[in-house]
Amino acid sequence: MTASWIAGTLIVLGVLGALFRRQAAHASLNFDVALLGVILLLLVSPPSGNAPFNREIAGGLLLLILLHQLITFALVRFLDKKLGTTHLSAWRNLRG
Amino acid sequence: MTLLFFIIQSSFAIGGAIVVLFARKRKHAFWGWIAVLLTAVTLILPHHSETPWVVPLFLCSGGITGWLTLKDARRFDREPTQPRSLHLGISRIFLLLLTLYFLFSVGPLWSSFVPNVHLPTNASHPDVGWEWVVGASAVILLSLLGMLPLLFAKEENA
Repeated sequence: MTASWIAGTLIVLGVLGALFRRQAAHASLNFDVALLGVILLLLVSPPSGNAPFNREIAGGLLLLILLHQLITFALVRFLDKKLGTTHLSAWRNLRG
Repeated sequence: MTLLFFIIQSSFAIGGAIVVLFARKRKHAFWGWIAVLLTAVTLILPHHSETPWVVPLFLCSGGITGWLTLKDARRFDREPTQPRSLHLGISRIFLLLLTLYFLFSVGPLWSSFVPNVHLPTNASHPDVGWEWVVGASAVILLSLLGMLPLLFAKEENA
């Protein structure tokens, strides 16, 4: 049981939530939990010849989480204004 | 003592992730996210000297994410118009299988991505002692506390 084990569990739980949650905000938050697991895995592993840019990739992913949440927030507000719901399946009603 | 701290850390991380996975209300999801974030910070603190910029970035990014989750929570947390069901849908199951296939197919490459992940080989057997078993059981039991919001939501709905 190490930090890598926790990171792996976070990735699995986050992927499950990202796949199965129906509200846009909840699905994106679960996706961020999975990303947090990946970041943790990159940060606790020492840089080596095969993976010399672990820290930089982790920093980039942290900024990606922030960007992703800002986009989701705007998207949820748009969905709520346009369709009166934040359900992911509401996207199909925007066709045409 | 190390094992005890690790049990607490694991429980917070996994319990928080389960809360985020099952929470119906954003307020609950926010607290789950904070638990995961703070545990991740405690886990990377030993590596703080190598990358001092990571912890502030972690707290800043995670804090803004939490704030966005909590913002307008009351407005967006409405009662579902359709009855809740546990039916997952065949397309989602296919998507899950595809994801698992992808994760397992890249498994042999993990050691090159992340050097400290040691994949088991025929030569090395994992040392499963009683401490590991007790620790894993405690972590799983404590993590199941994250299921409580789901049970409460079911009771409210019933």
